[in-house]
Amino acid sequence: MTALLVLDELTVQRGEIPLCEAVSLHLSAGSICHLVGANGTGKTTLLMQLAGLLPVLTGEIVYQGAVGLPVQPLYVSHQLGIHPNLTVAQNLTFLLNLYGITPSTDDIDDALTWVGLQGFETISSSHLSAGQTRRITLARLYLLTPEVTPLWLLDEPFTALDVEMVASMEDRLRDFANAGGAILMTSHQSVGVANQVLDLTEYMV
Amino acid sequence: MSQTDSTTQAMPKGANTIEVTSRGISFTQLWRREWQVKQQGAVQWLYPLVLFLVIITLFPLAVGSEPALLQRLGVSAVWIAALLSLVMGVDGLFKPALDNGTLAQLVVAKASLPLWVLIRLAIHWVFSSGIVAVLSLLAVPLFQLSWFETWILMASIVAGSPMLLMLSAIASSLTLSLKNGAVLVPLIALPMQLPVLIFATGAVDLYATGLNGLPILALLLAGSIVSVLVMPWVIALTLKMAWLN
Repeated sequence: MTALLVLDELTVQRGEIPLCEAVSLHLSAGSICHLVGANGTGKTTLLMQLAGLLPVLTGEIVYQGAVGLPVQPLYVSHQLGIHPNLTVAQNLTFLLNLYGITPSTDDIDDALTWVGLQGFETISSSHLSAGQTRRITLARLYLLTPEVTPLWLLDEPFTALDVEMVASMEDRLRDFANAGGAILMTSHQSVGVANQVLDLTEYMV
Repeated sequence: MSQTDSTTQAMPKGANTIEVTSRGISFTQLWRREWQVKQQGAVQWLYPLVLFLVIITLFPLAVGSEPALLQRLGVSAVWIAALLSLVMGVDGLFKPALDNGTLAQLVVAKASLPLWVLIRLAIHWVFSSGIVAVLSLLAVPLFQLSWFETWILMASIVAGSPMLLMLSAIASSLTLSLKNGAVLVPLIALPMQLPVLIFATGAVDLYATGLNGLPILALLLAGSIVSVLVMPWVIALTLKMAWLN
């Protein structure tokens, strides 16, 4: 199967300090890759490099057959992009607007229902708990398809979620991969839907 | 932190029925978001305006009520108050966006950072210098300036303040990754802003003495236009550098 994302001899590096060297990965459509490794091995750093938030100094990234960073990947991390002044619906709308999606009121309602935030549309985000705030950004997963953004980079997406929500999320990840998307994700929990594992410990400097 | 929020699950329907454009976020959507952030936020944007009002109100009380003295110092006092309120207000220009992840999401989604900076600064200008320009009409009762002088004063604030804002914004972006960087903003910005202050008060003084101050106002306006066209790109670059640090 043609690789969607190829990492070739990549150095995972934050500032001057290399964390891992010669990291290689082939991620095809349908792949759900669980990025594992102890704290400090560079899991988040690798995701940030692929998201374009940190520079890639050594190694090559090939995305959809062309050398270069992934175009508009979905990046979910602790940097949520949620503004406390805005309502839940306004924040979700902005996060979807970034990917060229103009959601209808029904879309917003459906996505928020999926993450258990039904009825919170007009509530200010500053009134939500950390777990609920995180769910706003996860609600995007409900509406994004591989046609919009084929690659999801998820950094600890299950943090602060209850068991039911994790199960629902895993269903969504599986559906996305089956539809032709690819996922690279970190999690300290086991990821039942993962069909590939990249252990950064093997590449540590 | 909520670990036990109840969840109603539904089968994902995907994005096949929603409207998708290939351009990413539009100018209108960015503008709406930033307008909502400003409008629905706390009243922090009011504090610099209160500072402006306090300075121009206290000044006549401090120097006395002699009309000639007030008229001579009025323009400078209003401009210094406008400058200080503007510099005070730039503290929260970019830091919240860095902290809450908005900047990261904009970068990842390949949105235009210069456009976002421009929109953010334009809205900030409306809520700061735009209102200050209107409040400068208080110079008539407080400093006994003539209406003509006050209109010229207002015009000079409108013409010069965009350049001042851009200079403050670049200082703010340069100090973004520093601890207590907000303290450095006035130290970096004020020396660069001093010429604007001199030119602006000079233009009003020229009109007050019956001379033509239009070339100076035009110069201020030209400087503002150039800075509005160039600075967002420079600021976007420094924001990315702050990000990498």
